[in-house]
This record gives sequence, C-alpha cells and structure tokens, in this order.
Amino acid sequence: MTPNKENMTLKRFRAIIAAYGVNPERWPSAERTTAKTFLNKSPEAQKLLGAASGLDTILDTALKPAAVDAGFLKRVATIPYQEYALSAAGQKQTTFGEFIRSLFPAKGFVPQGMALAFAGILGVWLGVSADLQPDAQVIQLDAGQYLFDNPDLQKDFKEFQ
Amino acid sequence: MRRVATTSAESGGDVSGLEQESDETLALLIGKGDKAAFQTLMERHINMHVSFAERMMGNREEAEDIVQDAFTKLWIHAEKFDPKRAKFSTWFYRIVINRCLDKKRKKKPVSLPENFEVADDRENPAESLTTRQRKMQVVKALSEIPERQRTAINMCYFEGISNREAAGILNMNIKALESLLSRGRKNLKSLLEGSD
Repeated sequence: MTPNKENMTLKRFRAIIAAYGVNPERWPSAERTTAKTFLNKSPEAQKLLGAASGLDTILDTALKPAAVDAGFLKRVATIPYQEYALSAAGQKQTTFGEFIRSLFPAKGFVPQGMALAFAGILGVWLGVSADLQPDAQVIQLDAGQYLFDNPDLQKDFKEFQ
Repeated sequence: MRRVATTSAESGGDVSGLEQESDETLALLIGKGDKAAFQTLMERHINMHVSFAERMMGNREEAEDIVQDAFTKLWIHAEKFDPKRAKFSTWFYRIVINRCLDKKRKKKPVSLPENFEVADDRENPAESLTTRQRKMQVVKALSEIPERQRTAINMCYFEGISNREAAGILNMNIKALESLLSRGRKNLKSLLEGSD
C-alpha cells in the first residue's frame, strides 16, 4: 500500500492501527502527522484507536525490556581478548597454502617437520611390531602342539636331548 | 594473517571520543581491530538485542548466548561490513535474526506447557503475580505465532525500528511488512483473549 502523505482515509488509518498499534510513535514517520491530525478530527478514528488499545496495553506492561546483568556484559566485553575469537579471525584469513608454508617457515630442517616425521616413523614401527607379535606366538604354539601330538618326533627329540 | 587487536588509546585515538561516533564508524574501527570501538558499540546495542532475542526465543539464557555469538561474529567479521550497503543496525539485526532462526531450527519443536514459568532469576521480587502471569501469557502467545510475524512485531513494535528499515532487514516491501504485522497482531490478540 502506497501511503498518501497528504490525505488520510479511515481505511488507511485502520490499516496503520492494525499494523503498528495505537502509539503514534510507532506509526510510519511519513504518515504520522497526517494520521494524528485525522485522529483529532475523526470520531470513527478515535473509536478505532480505543478498540485497539487493549493489546498494546498488555504488550507494553508484560514485556518491559530488562537490562542485561553485569556478568553477561563483562563476558561479551572480553570477546576481543579471547583467544578463540582471535584465532578464528586468523583462520578466516589463512589460505591452505599459507597453512602449509606455516609448517615449514624456514629452509632445511625445522622442529615441526622433524617431530611430524618422527611421529610417523614411530607409528609405522609400532604398527608393524604389534602386528607381527601375535603371529610369532601362534607359530610357536603350533610347533609345540605338533611335537606333542607326534610320538616319532617325541622320540627323536629325546634322542637329540 | 592474524588481525592485531588494538584500542583507540593504543593507536593514539581518544577512547572517550568514541561515544560521539556513529555505529557505522565504530563498526569500521572494529574491522581494524579496535577494542575500544567494540566496547562502545556493544554497550550501545546489547540491551536491545538481548530483549529482541529473548522475545524471539522466549528464553533469556538462549537470548544471551545468541547475542554473545553475534558480537563474536561482529568482532571476527567486522571488516566485511560495508556502510554503503546497509546501516550497521540493519546488518547486525540480520546476524541476530539468522542466529535465532538457526537455533530454532536445531531445537526440537516443543510447545510450551500450560503452567510453564518464565526463567528469569533477575525478576523483580515486587512484581505482582498478575503481571508475572500476564508476562507468561504474552511470551507463550508470541512463541505460538509464525516466525516471520513474531520477527516483524518484535522489530516494529518492541524495538521501534522504522517500517522501511524493518522491511529491508526482512527483505520485503512495506506492504508485505504491514500485512505480516496486522496478521501477527490479530493472532496475538486472539491467543491472549483465549488465555484469559
């Protein structure tokens, strides 16, 4: 609806009340003066305003904004000093290439690279030894069982001893 | 590159002078890492945004979380703010509204029970039982109207944002905004009459 700034009609006044309520401070600024003038002159407009005032009264009294407490204010005030906010800002501006380069800031060996390589080698070594050990035990157990079950071999074994 | 946080005082500026600066100037200073500008802008806006988020969520704790997140976003992304494209208040309201909608989407939709209490340990002890009951009814009614109607009423009625700015924030024309407001108020009225 395009408001007519010069002439207020009852239809438009009703629409304003329905949308913005009865307080002229909330009415569209472009139409406020005209609507107020219209209200002063029109008994129908005054009747409309009176009928609509109930909801505004309930909303105004029930939902008065409460001020935030000091603890919360302090928490928000520390945002610029918090590491996560600073690091998030940093991460946002870091490209993948910059991240990779940051791991190798100088030519030659660097502590980060050496630590990474050592961790990798240690992981592979642990993985391989953990994998071989059960197999070795199985082989030893199988050999013992075979010797125990075979009388000829037991005899040879005694002679050997 | 990590943004280096500074204050106006550290950079030779006058902290007290920031009070006179517009929201847009402060936001641009925050984009350069100015902590004092952040403090000034935060103190200027925090009350209304917490009230706004509380009416959107029906819960003070969630409202505070949302506003804290929004201010964290402001600190991190302030350099993206372009005063030629939008007023600071429009830009920041969008952040808060989007955060409210995200949180609502993640939340399991649960309608408020008949006898629910508004959680607020800062409540005035002198507040009468009738006022408290009325407050509960209004919070409940607000939570039951459609999201867009609630957002429009929250901005135009409670926050006093102009219809033009509210329409801009909601990305709609003024006629559509007025239609949302009218339907929202009508729904609220019938819900509140039903709860009497």
